[in-house]
Amino acid sequence: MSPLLDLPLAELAARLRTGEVTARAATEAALTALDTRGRELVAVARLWPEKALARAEALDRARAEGRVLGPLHGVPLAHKDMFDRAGELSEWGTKIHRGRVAERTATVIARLDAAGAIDLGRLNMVEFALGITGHNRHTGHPRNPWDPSRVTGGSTSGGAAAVAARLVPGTLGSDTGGSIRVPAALCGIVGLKPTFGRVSRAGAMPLSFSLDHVGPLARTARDCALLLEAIAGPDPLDRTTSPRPPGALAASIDAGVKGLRIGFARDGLEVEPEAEIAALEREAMAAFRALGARVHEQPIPALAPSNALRRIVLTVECAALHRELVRTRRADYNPETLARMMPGFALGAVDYLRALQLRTPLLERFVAEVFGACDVLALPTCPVRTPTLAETDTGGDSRFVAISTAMGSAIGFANYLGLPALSVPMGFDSRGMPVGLQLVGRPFAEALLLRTAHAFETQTGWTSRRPPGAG
Amino acid sequence: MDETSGAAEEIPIEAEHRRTAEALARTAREVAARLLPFGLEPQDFEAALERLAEPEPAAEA
Repeated sequence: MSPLLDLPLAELAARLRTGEVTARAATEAALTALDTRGRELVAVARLWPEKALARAEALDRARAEGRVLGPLHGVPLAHKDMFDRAGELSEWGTKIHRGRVAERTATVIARLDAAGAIDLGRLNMVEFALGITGHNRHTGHPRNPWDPSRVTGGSTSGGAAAVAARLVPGTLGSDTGGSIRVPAALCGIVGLKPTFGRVSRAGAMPLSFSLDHVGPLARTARDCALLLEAIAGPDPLDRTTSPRPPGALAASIDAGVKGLRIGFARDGLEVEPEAEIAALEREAMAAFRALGARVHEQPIPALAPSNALRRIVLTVECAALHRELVRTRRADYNPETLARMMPGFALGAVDYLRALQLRTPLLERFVAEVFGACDVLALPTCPVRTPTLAETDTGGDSRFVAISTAMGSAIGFANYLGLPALSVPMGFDSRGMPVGLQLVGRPFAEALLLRTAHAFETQTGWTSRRPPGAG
Repeated sequence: MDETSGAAEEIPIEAEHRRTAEALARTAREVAARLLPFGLEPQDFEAALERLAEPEPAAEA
């Protein structure tokens, strides 16, 4: 594999801007890696080599003329198969939409274009982004680069596998109940779900209007900061976007965590973390203490009610979107997708309205009780260790629902409450699988989360480990 | 088919999914009984996020 792909995104971008590396060389390297290792990992939906190479050559000519488009000039990226590009296939991980051609380009894709990135193609995902394990019978189940017998996590399954295997330096994902953070944790990379409203969803496949978030996955916090800076900000095409400018996230990333109050959650979790994961979290808190942070146990409101309310909003909005398709093409859905969606058809308008009414009071309570006492809340991203594909390939039955619910038990609250949340690697379990630490902040605290994660990465070095066969 | 009827009449739902929905609805009722003042309209969630944001704390030198 090309040494160019061993570079973190920020480093590669810096070399591309100076001309030390050409966009063509970086693009060729990434295309080759995706077409070989990427296919082995079942990470790739489709590639656009001719268009990508033509764009790379155009960017190299522009740079030679002294024109650098933006901070991502010449950086090759590939994204989840739910971000539309006008005139290209966008199939949302389902055979139901096989052959679907996008009519317009998603705002986040257009913003990456404007920042100079090169779009190589689309990566596999869970069908309709509805699932946390990564299973997809229509595309094949993506494989975890650390152990191909284990799940990647989902729904940004192909994207997390591709970044972890060092096939591309970054990718975009969506997160309605952990779909950025869980695959980032299980694949040993960094994933950030921004505050609700920070990033436009226009042109991205809708799953649940009230809970969908778009954000970056990359190998480091600095890389995520660069991607988030490029895609964040108000968008007239998405009325939920905040008027706040994205801010200079990467510029403040070296500020450190000395004196910051980091609270780790113990009580209030819906699922007790497995012993190995709890031990890694203790080591992570020790690392923060060594960095000068003030670490304490932080009481939190119980997560179970927020998780349940999130599921009401998710399943009802999803059922509303899919009603006609379920009626006419039910047999074409993955059983895992239906297993997650079907309760929404049995819930009533009163239940849904209650869940929406409770969102603001519960957010106010959570912010007051938690962020009145700490700056960053820390908890394991996933309280259970990464299962194998075989253990979870049970046809969407009650066992599948149970493990999916456990895997997502510490993350869905941040979607319901709209809070920014990031997963950063915090070590490896006894099977050699990466484990993620989730950092949560008050609304629009992305810069704080990124700098906290960056300090942690620098202290621990976990993000520099490579999976077998990478680099 | 009556397009104004609820989806539940049109789409068969397995018993386990009905049980899941009932459990979720029960949670919503319980939380609402504790936290929702009678008559509260859904609040502007995006405005609440803006209101609850604060400048990030600075790290010590």
